[in-house]
Amino acid sequence: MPSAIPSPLKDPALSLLAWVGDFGRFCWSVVVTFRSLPFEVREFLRQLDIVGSKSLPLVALAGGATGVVLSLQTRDSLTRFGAASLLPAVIIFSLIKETGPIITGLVVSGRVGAGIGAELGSMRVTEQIDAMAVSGVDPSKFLAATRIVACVVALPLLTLAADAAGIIMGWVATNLVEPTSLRLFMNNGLRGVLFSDFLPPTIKTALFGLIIGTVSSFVGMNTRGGTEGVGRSATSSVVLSSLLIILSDVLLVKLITAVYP
Amino acid sequence: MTDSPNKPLVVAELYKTFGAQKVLDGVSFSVAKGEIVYVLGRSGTGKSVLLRLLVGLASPDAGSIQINGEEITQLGTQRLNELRRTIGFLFQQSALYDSLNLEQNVQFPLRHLGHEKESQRATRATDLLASVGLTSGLTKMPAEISGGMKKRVALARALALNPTIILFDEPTAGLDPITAAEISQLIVDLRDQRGVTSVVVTHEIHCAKYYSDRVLLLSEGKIVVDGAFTDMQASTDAIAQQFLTNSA
Repeated sequence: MPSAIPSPLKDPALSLLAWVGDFGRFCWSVVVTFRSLPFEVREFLRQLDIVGSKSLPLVALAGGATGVVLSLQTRDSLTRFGAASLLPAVIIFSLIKETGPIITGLVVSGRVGAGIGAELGSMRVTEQIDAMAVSGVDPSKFLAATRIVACVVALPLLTLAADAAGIIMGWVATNLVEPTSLRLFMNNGLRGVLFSDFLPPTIKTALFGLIIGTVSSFVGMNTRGGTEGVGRSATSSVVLSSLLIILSDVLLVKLITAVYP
Repeated sequence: MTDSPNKPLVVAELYKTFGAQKVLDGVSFSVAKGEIVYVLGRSGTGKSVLLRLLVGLASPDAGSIQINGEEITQLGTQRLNELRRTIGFLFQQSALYDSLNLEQNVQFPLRHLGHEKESQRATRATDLLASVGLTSGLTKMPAEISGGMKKRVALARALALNPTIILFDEPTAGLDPITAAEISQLIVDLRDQRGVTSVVVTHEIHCAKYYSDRVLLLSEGKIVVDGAFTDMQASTDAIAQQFLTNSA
């Protein structure tokens, strides 16, 4: 005889628990795909291009704009306290330690998260994911794992681009107000910078990539309800990814500060 | 594992419910090798759900499904994926990959399961598309072709891995009568030329009449008719008679 199916979960707490359980199962289904070779290298490279190279202009623009804003805003404050010479250091420290990574995470979450959520959502509602499954190709391996790894690899690289664009544009903004050579700007800015200031914050963005790839793939592959559902998935992917990036950043900053006091 | 060489598909006491709705209520049937079985029934009677269960896209609440002697409800993902390569599935909306052209759609299962070299795959895809009547426009994208052409491409893709069983979900839905007849004839040709076993879910009673070896009529989660089309015509079941009368 058939087993009884529980009535739909009405309690929000239970719904949240069910969501977390489903998300955990999805993550495990992706993890186990790495046991079976070969990895989908071709699809991974295609995704790396979509996530990485195609996000590069946007990330560089966002990083550059941040550099300009940092220069404009901190100049006034530093001048008041007689510390205008510290401006390059403030811009560079701020960018590499926090602003660059978080801006990159949020920009990629908006662009790539929505893209993955909508693309996989559309594939779900048009049965393309089912078609893949019935032909013996594991969708978790082909669709999710490739996107997740591409996000993990691309985010630190994009962060470097955002940092570089921010520093250059910070120098440009500074130079327009008070002419300074790039070499002097960099020498002043990088004087006190250690690898521990630069490396952990850059590498932490790999975790942001993991969040974007995993959450967006999960949301997209579990889309329900036609085109309206696809729209919902795109929105949910961005909102959830962005929220989790900000929350995880709090923990990571605390962790990095503890390890590199 | 059960040895059933002449019954590649055996379903026993299959139950499936969604919430309070009992979709399948103890469905049992088997399909012989090379047989074409049409599954008829009103909308919402669980025909498509039945097909999804047969290929492991959904799990039954209870019951047994044996494909080529193997109980698929007990299989792990890896073995299930291996078994699925012996089964073709034609989706109602064709489910072509919209980022790939027609030729690439057919090549997809071959490429991802490491079959043959690229040039061999291309030749095979062209041959498969030719076998379903498509010889030109193979680099078109799915959005650029008609519903009938999509069905043909989807059928060519389903044939790529040389399946022994093909499941068809409404293969003629939304098609004009001529194209519908051509698709139905293709199913018969597959049986005659490749010995393929077919399960066809449809509303088209005319197709069932002319192209089926056997029909199953689903009503309220149960099979109320299981036999040749003439058996359905002779049945005293009210649903069977309504089906025949309203389709005449």
